[in-house]
Amino acid sequence: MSMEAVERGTYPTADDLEIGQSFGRSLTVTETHVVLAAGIFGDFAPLHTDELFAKDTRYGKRLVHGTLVTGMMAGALTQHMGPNAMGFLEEHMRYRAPTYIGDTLETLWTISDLVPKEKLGGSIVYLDGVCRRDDGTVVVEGEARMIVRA
Amino acid sequence: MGDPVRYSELRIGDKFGRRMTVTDTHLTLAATLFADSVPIHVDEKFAKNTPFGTRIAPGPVASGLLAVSIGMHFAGTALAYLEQVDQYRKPLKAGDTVSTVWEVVEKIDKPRFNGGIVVLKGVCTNQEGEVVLESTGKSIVTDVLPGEESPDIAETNEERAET
Repeated sequence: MSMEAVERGTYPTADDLEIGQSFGRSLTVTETHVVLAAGIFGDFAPLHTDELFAKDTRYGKRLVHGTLVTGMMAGALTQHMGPNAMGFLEEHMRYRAPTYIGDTLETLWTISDLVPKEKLGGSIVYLDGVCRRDDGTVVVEGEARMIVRA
Repeated sequence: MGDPVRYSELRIGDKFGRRMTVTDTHLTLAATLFADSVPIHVDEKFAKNTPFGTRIAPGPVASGLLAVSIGMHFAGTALAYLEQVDQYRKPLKAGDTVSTVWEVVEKIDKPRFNGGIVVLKGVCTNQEGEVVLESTGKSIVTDVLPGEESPDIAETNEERAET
């Protein structure tokens, strides 16, 4: 079996997807995530990097970068589709509550629509996503659109 | 970093942004941080046989590089980042230098925050001038810095629910 067959064999193609299907995963955000995210994005805003500053705000401690949360959510999406994820087209993410270091985030995506595009060799997949802290608080909710290979 | 911009100082049409070179480190760390190790981000051999010809960064890297300008511009005066809409146009590759620009398009006064909601349109372009990402962002910005009088967190959460 070729490597490609191995890779493709374990992931859904567009034909395997149905409206209403859900998938997701759980990840713990650590201080390492925040420090490295500050580095790669160049986002050293004190609310993310300065504990003394953050203590004086109404949050009381450093916040996790919003992009880190939405990046983890998008990761759950592409990771589910694996090599059949042909392109991430669009996302609309609404931040509902802050995420703190140590929170375990549970992401859940649900397929809301599927539009086959023969020309592209796949389908456009519409999804609704929600990400919760371990106490159940919704931190981010939104929609995304991607292309998945048929 | 200069003083953060306060709500009342903002004018419609104000622009701000920055420029950054994306490296292999960005791709590798983003794949790790987002736990997103699909072949197009981490497998050069696989990526060579796709229309992109090489590994591309996870989309949220471009989104994050764009968002950071808002975070830094309003560091201290932003009470909450409410939402971002991202439309991905072109992939981001290691070696690309991206310019990001945000423009203030709307201000919605919210006196109870001593400020209001700022609506911004953003664009991220690569060194060829090609648009990588187009976005809309919404943030609550105040006139009051931490340590000065600060609105209640419960009210901020109410505001999030309304938008």
